[in-house]
Amino acid sequence: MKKRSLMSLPPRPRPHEEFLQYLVHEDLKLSYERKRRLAIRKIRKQFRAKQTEIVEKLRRGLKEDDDHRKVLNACIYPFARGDVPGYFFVRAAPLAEMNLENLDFLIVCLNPPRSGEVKVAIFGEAKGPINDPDRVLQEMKGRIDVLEQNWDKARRMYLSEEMPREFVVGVLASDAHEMSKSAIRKGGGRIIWSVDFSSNHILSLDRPDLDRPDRTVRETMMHKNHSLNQILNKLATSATLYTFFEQSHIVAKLRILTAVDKLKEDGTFMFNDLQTLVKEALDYVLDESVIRRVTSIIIEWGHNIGFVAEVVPGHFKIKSRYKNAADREREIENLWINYRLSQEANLLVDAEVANLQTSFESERAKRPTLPEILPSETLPK
Amino acid sequence: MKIPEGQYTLDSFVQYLADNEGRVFGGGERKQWLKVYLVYARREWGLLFKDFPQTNLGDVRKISMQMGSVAKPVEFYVYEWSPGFLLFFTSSRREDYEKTLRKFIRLNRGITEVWIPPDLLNIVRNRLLSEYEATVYSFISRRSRLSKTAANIRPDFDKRLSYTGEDATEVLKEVANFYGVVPKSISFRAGTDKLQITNNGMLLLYSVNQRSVQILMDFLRTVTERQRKVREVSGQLKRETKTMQIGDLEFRTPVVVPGIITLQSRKLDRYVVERFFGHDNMDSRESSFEVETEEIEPREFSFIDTSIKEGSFSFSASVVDDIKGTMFGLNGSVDQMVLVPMHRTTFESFVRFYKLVIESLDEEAKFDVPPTQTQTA
Repeated sequence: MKKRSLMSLPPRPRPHEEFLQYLVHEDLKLSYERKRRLAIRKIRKQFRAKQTEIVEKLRRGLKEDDDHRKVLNACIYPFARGDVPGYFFVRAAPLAEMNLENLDFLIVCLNPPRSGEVKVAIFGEAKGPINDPDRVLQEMKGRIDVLEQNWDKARRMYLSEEMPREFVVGVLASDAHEMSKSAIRKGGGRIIWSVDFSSNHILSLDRPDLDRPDRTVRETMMHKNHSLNQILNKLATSATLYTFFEQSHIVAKLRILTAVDKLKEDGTFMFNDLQTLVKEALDYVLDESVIRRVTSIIIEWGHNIGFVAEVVPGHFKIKSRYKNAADREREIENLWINYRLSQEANLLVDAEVANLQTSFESERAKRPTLPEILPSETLPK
Repeated sequence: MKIPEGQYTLDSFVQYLADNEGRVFGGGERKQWLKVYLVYARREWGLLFKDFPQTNLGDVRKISMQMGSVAKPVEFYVYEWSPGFLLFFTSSRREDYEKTLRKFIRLNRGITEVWIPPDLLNIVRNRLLSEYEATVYSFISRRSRLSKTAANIRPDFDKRLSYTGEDATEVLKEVANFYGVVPKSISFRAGTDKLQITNNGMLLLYSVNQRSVQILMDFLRTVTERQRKVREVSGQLKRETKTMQIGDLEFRTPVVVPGIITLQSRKLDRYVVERFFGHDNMDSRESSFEVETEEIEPREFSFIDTSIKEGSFSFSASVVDDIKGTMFGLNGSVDQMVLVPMHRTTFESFVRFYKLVIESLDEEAKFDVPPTQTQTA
């Protein structure tokens, strides 16, 4: 659920016909068209050579998102299951309404289970497989700083009242130990949740060993409410809970289309059918405009990649020869990859053509036409 | 099937059928047979059928269903056996059932055919053989190559076997041992009566009299008693939201009640789960059988967003019910699967998924709602 960096957009070439008209001179036109053809052929050839690499990168991105969602689901699940008395999942991506760099989830202890325990807001970040725990903590610090800077607003928006904050990093069990070590080195203050997907899926607090000289640091890596520390011990959890989150990969969102037209005798579905599913997928979102926006995005992308067609206004159809969701899922992934490939190829072609146009513009500048040289009043009417 | 208007209990209804067989079912060449379909339905089942003309006949309700290409309405007499179980009595032809009630069941959420697992069908069969001195004269059996049912001969093949013969009682047992095939439909002879039972909850009586009515009641009691739990567990799986208050703010929090299928007689591994997920394309496999009299069921569930972990074995997927559009999560290890409701939750998707597990993975699998952590503590 990272913010994807926007690709810097290369220059767009002028439309072909318009540029030909601008060139005026027939020899220039012919030369431009020939060089343009060659340039496009060259770019397409170069692109084909690295296509496999691009496809792998696209698939990797999708897998990272899937892995991330599974860990995030595993962090939330026990709270939705009612396994942690007094604590409730409030929402994913808190601060989304403010368009700010986001943490992944907010869980609140509203009814402290034991006397002496307090209300707490737990902000958390979920991570799929990680290589560099220090970087994860660094990134998280950035996000926490943003939260702190906007705390008054965030508090008014989600919590109403002031309450202490705790910061959790949910990681795979295989990364939990390194993550803890890194957090201790950085002075603590982060609580590590370990998600174990081997065998039965479980969620645990990665308990720091307190019998160490740096005990005071390690103590900050436990929850204030002891009851939560106790309960987070091999708690049954699930990799599946939310089909997608607001900031999930577009393919994760498009997967919902595999089931949207089930039980529809004529095979068409309406905006509302999809909206109902999106509402279920983002059941914690109260703002209806968010639900509508996400629904529109799914339809728009479904249309872009050629998986959804609007047969008559307001009535959509899945353009697939498959009825079953598994084949449809594969089709969505492939269509999305093809779409992205053609997008990338077009960007490169555009950049090359734009360069070519620049060089022809200087050629053209050297060869002005008569009307361009003479003042207009001297020309015969 | 024509029943005069009046107030019936189940007993008086079937008694009327038995006492007036000729009038109700006709005779000679045109004689019709009584079919009883056992169906799981949501508690407020009346709402499901609100668009069909109906007449109340006491505890029994007559419903006329006309759908699609069916020329004239097909009549069903419905009785609520117990909450969640409905009986549909009809004398209409099988094709008419397929085009009306069965189609309705497939196109609507909140209703599904009752399914009789192999061990229960065995119990039903054995009761008929011992209590009513019945014999089997025809049966259809099948085997999935993923099945763990013991088979002496070529266990790794999908098989379907249809047999008719006066020695069918023995043959049914023999082919079960040799080929590991499991009966789907069994036809019996009990004295002068004939009847057929299918594993999707249908009982067909060729003649209606005191004895066949007794067989029917016996059948219904045995099946509903055993299958009540599946219905109850499936109905408990939930995905809802609860609106909560923090100070003067509202938020909506998810509430999920999962189900758990525990395997008893097999351990799962990558090979089995990949096949279960259908990665070897079970669609084409299923359709390779050319069977005229029996509708071939297309695969009913798809597994998407799948992940299988090696080492300490585990897997997860989103399951899509390709018939009803329900979506639920699946998390599994060597001997269990946790089902997490996600979209369009309705009980029958879980009934049918459990059936899939029983039929293709483990006949002894158990289905429950796991206790929460606090309940365990």
